Amino acid sequence: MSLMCSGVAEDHFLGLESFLVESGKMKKDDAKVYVFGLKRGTITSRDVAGMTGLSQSTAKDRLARLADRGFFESTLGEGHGRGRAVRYRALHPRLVLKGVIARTEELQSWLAKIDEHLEYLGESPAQESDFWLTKSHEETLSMVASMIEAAKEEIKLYSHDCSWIRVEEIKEAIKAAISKGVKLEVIATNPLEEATHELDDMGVHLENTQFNGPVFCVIDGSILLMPYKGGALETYYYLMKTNDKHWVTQYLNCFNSIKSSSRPWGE
Amino acid sequence: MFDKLLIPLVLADASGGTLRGKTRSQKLVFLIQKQASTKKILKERFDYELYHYGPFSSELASVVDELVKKGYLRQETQISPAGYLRYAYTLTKAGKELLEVATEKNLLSPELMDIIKEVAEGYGNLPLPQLVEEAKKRF
Repeated sequence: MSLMCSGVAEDHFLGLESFLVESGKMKKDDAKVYVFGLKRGTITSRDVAGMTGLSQSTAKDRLARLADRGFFESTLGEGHGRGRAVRYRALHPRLVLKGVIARTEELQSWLAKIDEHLEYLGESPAQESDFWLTKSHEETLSMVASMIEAAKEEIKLYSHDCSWIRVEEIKEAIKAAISKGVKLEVIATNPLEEATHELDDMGVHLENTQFNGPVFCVIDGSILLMPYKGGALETYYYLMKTNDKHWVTQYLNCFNSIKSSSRPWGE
Repeated sequence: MFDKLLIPLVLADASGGTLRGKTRSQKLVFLIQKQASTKKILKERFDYELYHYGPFSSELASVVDELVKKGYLRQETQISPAGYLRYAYTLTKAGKELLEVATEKNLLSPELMDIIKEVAEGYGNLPLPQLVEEAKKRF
C-alpha cells in the first residue's frame, strides 16, 4: 500500500508530527509511529519494526504503550501465524488533540483580549527615552519586518553589505512599505551585488559611501533601530530600538552627513 | 448574515478606508449596534461581553479575521506613539467592490449606513481611553 494517502500531502503529516512533538504531546519516535499509523490506516508491530529499524518486540511494546495512551485502538488478542498479529489503527488526530484544540481556541480568545490591552497601552503618548533590546533572533526579524511594513513616510537605512535583503520577511516588508508610497533611502559601505539588483528592482536607489560606522535604520523620523552584537560562543545580532528624540535626531543627522558625502553606486 | 459581514467594511470605508486598531474597531461597532438598536434597524447583531477594556465581541474578531482571509480587508501593522505595534485593517479593492454591490442591492439599510458614518465621524478619532469609557458607559 502506498504511504501517500490521496489528497493529503506528506507536508501535512510532517506538520502534524512536528506539532505533536513541539506541543509536548509526544516524543519524537512515538509521533513518527503514530503518524505512520495514520498514513497506513492499520499497522502491526512488524510494520513499525520495518519502518523504524527497531526489533519486533520493541515495536510491539511501543504500539501497546501508544494504545494505552489513547493514540491507537487495537484488535483483541494475538493468535498464531501470519495475519493473526494484533493490528493497530491510529485514532483520529481531532480526538487525540481534543484538549490541545480546545486550549488553542481559548488561547485565541486570550490573545484577542491581550491585543486590546497592548493597543490600549500603546495609545499612551509616553515619550520613551530608553533603548530596548530584543534578543530572540526570530522575533527580532519579525519585529523589524513589522516596523518596516508599518512605516508611513520614510525609511532611512545605513548598512554595510545589505545582507538583510536575503531575509524574505524583511524583503517582503520593504516591498509592502514601498507599495504604500513610503520612501526608502539606503546607503551602504560595501553592498552585495544581489542587494543592488534587488533594490534596483524595487525602484530603490542605493548609494555607496566610504564611511564605516555602526549600522542603523530610522523609520518615519521617530524610531531608531540598530543591531546589537552579542552571544558568548557564537556571534548573534540582537535588535536595539528607541524612540528617544535626541538619539533619533542624532542618527538622522548622521544619515544626512553620510549621504552628502556619498556617491551613487557604480558612478 | 450580511449585516455582520458588511458593518466592518462600511466602518472601514467611513473611517477613511482603514480601521485603526482592533480595540477601536470593537468599540465603534458596539456603538453602531447601540445606536441602531434604538431605531430597530439591525437584522442581526454581534454578542458583546463587558470586560476591563469595555465591550468585546469574539464573534466580531472572527468576522474581521474572515474578511482578511477572504481578501476584503488587508491586515497591516502600525506603530503606536508609545512604540507598540497595533493592527490596522484597510479596505481592499475587492472589499470596495463588495460594498458597491451591497449598496446597489440595498443589502444594508441606508439608515444603518448613516449611523455607521455618524459613529465613525463622532467617535472614530477619540483617544482610545476615552472611546473605551464611552463604550463602557453605553453597555
